This record gives sequence, C-alpha cells and structure tokens, in this order.
Amino acid sequence: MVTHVWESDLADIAALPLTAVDGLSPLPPATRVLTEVLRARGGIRGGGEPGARAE
Amino acid sequence: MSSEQRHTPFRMPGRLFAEVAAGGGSAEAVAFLERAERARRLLLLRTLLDRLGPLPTPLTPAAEAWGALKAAAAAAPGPVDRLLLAPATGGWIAHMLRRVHGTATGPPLWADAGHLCSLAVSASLLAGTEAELRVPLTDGAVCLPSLGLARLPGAERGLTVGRASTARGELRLVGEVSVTVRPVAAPLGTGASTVQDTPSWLPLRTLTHRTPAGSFAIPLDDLDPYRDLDDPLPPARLEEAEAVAWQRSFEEAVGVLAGRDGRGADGSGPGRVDPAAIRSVVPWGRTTVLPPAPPTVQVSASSGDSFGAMVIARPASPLALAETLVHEFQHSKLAALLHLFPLLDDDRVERYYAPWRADPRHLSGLLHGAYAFTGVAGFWRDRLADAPDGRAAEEAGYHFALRRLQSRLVVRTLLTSERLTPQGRALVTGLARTLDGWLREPVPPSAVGRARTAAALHRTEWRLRNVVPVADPASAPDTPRLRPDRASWPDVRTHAFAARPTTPRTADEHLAAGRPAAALARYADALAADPTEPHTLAGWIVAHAALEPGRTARRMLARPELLQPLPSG
Repeated sequence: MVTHVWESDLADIAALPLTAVDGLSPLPPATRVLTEVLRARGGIRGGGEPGARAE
Repeated sequence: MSSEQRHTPFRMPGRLFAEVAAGGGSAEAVAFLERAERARRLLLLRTLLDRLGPLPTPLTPAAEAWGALKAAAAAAPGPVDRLLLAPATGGWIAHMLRRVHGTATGPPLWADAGHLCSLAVSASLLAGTEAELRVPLTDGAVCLPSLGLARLPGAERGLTVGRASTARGELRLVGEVSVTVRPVAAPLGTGASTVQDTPSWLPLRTLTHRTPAGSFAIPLDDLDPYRDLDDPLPPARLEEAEAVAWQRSFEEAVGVLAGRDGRGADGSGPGRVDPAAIRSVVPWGRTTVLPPAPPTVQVSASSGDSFGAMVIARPASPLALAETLVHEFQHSKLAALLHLFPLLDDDRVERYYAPWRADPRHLSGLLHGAYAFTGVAGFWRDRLADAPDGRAAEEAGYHFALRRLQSRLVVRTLLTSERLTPQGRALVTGLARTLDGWLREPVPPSAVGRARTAAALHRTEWRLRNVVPVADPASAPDTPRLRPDRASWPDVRTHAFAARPTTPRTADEHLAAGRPAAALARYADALAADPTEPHTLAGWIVAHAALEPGRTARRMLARPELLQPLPSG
C-alpha cells in the first residue's frame, strides 16, 4: 500500500519570490537542514580512491 | 513565530515518493524535489545573509549587494531565480555557511563572501538593470555566475578589488585597467557562430540538448569557483576542441539513454535520467583533447548542495558517460529527498562494507551507494534489452547482474541496521522491491557467473584488507572490527570481468572464463612468493570455493580474514 502523503519538516516556501527572502527568519542553529550543511566535507581534490563520490 | 513557521510543511504525495523509492522518478517527481530544493535554498540564503552583514569587507557591503540582486529579481524574476537555483550558487551558499561556522576553509573571508557581489552583478546583467558594485578579483578576473569570467588583461596577480558597473546588459570592469564587455554564455553544438574567448571575456559554455519540445542549455562549467564539492577552485578553461568533444560525447550519451526505441527518453524509470533535468556538468581533470580520454570515467562526484550538478572526468566511451549521468543524478535525487526527510539515524561511523568502495562506509554513504547503483543496475538492464549483439549482451548482462546483486546486499544491510526512519524504510523497501524483481530476470548465464565471481572477489579482498580476523561467531559480519593499518587499494577486477576472455592467460582471466582450476594453480604459484598478498589470496579463495562448493566454502567466503594462506593449491 502506498502512503497517501509524506509530511516533511521543511517549510513549503517554494512559491515565495526571491524578493521576499528578507521576510523569512534565519534558520535556528539546531535545524536539521542547517546542521547537515554545516558538517565539514572534502572537495574532490581531497583524495580517496578514483571513481564516484558524493558528499 | 518566524515567517517560515507559518508556512505549511512540504507534503510529498505517496505516489511520487514511491516512484523515487523504486529508484526512478517521473518528471513530476523530479520537479517536486527541485521545488523543495528551491525552498531549502531560500532558507539557507536568508540564514547566510544574516551572517554576512557584520563581516568587514573592502567590497560592496552585503546588504547593498543583496539590494542590487533583489532589484534585478524584481525586474526579471525568471532569469534571476535560475541564477539562485544554479548548482554553483547552492555550492557557494553552503560553503559560506560552513566558513562562517568554521567547518570549511578558503581564501580570505571577505573574498569568499564577496561572491555575493558577483552574483548581484550577474543578476543585474541578466535583468538589464543598473548597478555598481566592488567585486573580488582573483588574478584580475571575476567570475560572473551563469555568464562567464571577466578579466582585466595585465592585471596584478592575487586578490584585489575591482569596480563593476552594469547597464542594459553591458559590464564595465575597472581595476588597474578597465574593460567593457557584453557578457553572454556560449552554446555548444548549435552550428551557429559562438562567442569566442577574448582576453577580457571567457563565456560560460553550455551543452545543447535538443528535444522535440525545444533545446535545453546545460552549463559546461569550467569557470565558477564553487563548482566543486566545497572549497573554491580556480578556473580550468577547456580548450575549444575539448569543449566540442564534450558536446559530442554528451549527444552520444543522450542517444544511449534514449535507447533503441526511445523508451528511455523521458528518464522516468529506474536507471534512466532526463538529460534536460541535469543542471550543470563540471568537467574534471583534463582541459585538452590530448592525450585521448580513457574509456571509463576515472572520477565523478556530486554534492547535495548543488542539485543536478555532476563533476565528471570525460571518458571516451559514450556508454560510460551515460552510466555516469544516471549514477550522479541518482545522488542528486536522494540528496533532495534527504533534505525533505531524515531517512536514517546515522552515527557516521565508517564500518560497513560497500561493494563499490575500497574503504568502510557510514550508513549515509551506504544509502547513497545503494541508491546510485540501483540506478546503474537499471541503466545496464536497459542496455541488455538494447544489446545489438552477443558481446554487448555479455557486457550489459554482467554489469546488470553485478550491480543488482551488490545493491541488494547493501539494501539488506540497511534494512537490518535498525537505523532507518519510517521514510527511510519506505525508500529502502522500494529499492528492495525493484531489485528483487530484477534478480528474477534472465541474464546470459556466463555474464551472471562472472558477476557473481567479481562480487565475491571484491568482498573477499575488502575483508582481507580491512577486517581484523576475530574468530567470534557472535560478532555481526556486517559490522566487523577494522584493521588499524587498512589503506586504499585499486579495484582492478570489477571492470576487467565485464568481458568474457577468449584466450585467458592470467589467473583472473581464467577465473573470468569459468576455469577455476587453471586460475587456482596460478594464484597458488603467486602466493608461494607472498602468501598473504590480499589481491592474490582473494582470487585463490574464490577459485577454491568455485571448485569445492559447500559449507566450508561458504564459511571461507563469509569470513576470509580467518583463513591462513594455503599457497600449495
């Protein structure tokens, strides 16, 4: 059975124009989206094996 | 209450989630993910703008640059929105957030942060508005995202400050010298006379993808400093012939993806990608046509910060490029889904076997690999259906059989990890369903044999190189104790086993040809000189198990690290 809908913790602001960004509040530090971005990661020059990589 | 908290959360229809969970995704599903990416990017941009404001800078202050960008967005919402959604803009926003948080490095902070001024200049040029901004120059050049690179000929090296003025789509850049240019990108493969490189302007080239619905321009980005996974890079300008080679390779890869009957053209099934959904290709590792490109992709990469972008070292084979387009877009889809939903509770300890890696992976990496290689399996399934001759069927059948087997193994590890969220379990269950269906599909028996052998060889060598021999049956085989002296090693067998050897000579070739006895004797000879060499020992173990299948062989393959070398054969 397919679940009817999956609800995200991300606010649906996709329809907001770019000019309205000022009206948003900055993400709180502990927000899931932000903590994931802030995790350190390596560039492709960082070494490792040849082949496919994803960060 | 913050304004975004007043917005309703994203609600992903179950049927779209199911499409993505199956390893594919219709245009509607991909558009949904991209809409969520836009929302995420607006929130991250807002968060970043707050942090940029107080930073000291010799450039135009962030608030003023943002004002110029907003004025352009008001005048031309579409083009400026596309600039915001460009993968490299996402890369910059994420990199800057890490920089101000202390988890990334780069040039002086004001120069990194000053990319906002460059974005504002691009926005102004795209919208035809007027603006004047002080921008960071590196060796006298400034990247104008989505447009190209403006240069002051003869300017001093290093970081300096330039003054950029825009009006009616024209740029005047002033430093020690000044230039005036009309920045436009340069489409490849259109047959029309394209914009040429000049001392003052390097246009962003775009790959042209033609469809019945029209042409799509996909940036071939060798200029933007934020086109890699994190730290900024200098430009690596392709010579014209290499750019033309990219367009040709891309067109051929698109032809491969469409398939013989065109059923892959919409990109909706597992293992397919709509080329129009690719947002940029970042050429890697070569800027000239010579020496000739290797047949396979030596490096490819992608980042969740840059939806739809893929870093690729160009291969000579369009088949290899097509496979990589599918592989990297799988990563983009999964990253976007991860932005919508926590799919697993990952402690990020690298302890798991991934059949496509030399090193142990954490759970997130395992999930990414399973999702990407399920797509790769689907890609080869289509190629098997399209195979024009027996040789092509052998190769496609091998890759299909290998990747469905390896992906299913990893899916099992994920399902038994007890770390999946409800959404994560739904996703991985969807993958399992796809793979289980594929595992029942017919593949040429010799290709299946080589795939099973190659899978066993990789896992065996991985354990010999990475796992501490612990004769404790209670310890879980999925989470072994890892050797402190483990190091990277080259996987030379996965691709080598794709073709059926006609005149086998080496031990591996005999094994690939289905002659384990001949292989075993050669492995034993080699082990006489070095009894613990993991590559050879892995071959010996797999050949021995093929000759004497049974309980002992299964135990040997399950925990090869427990074996003492037996070089006598």
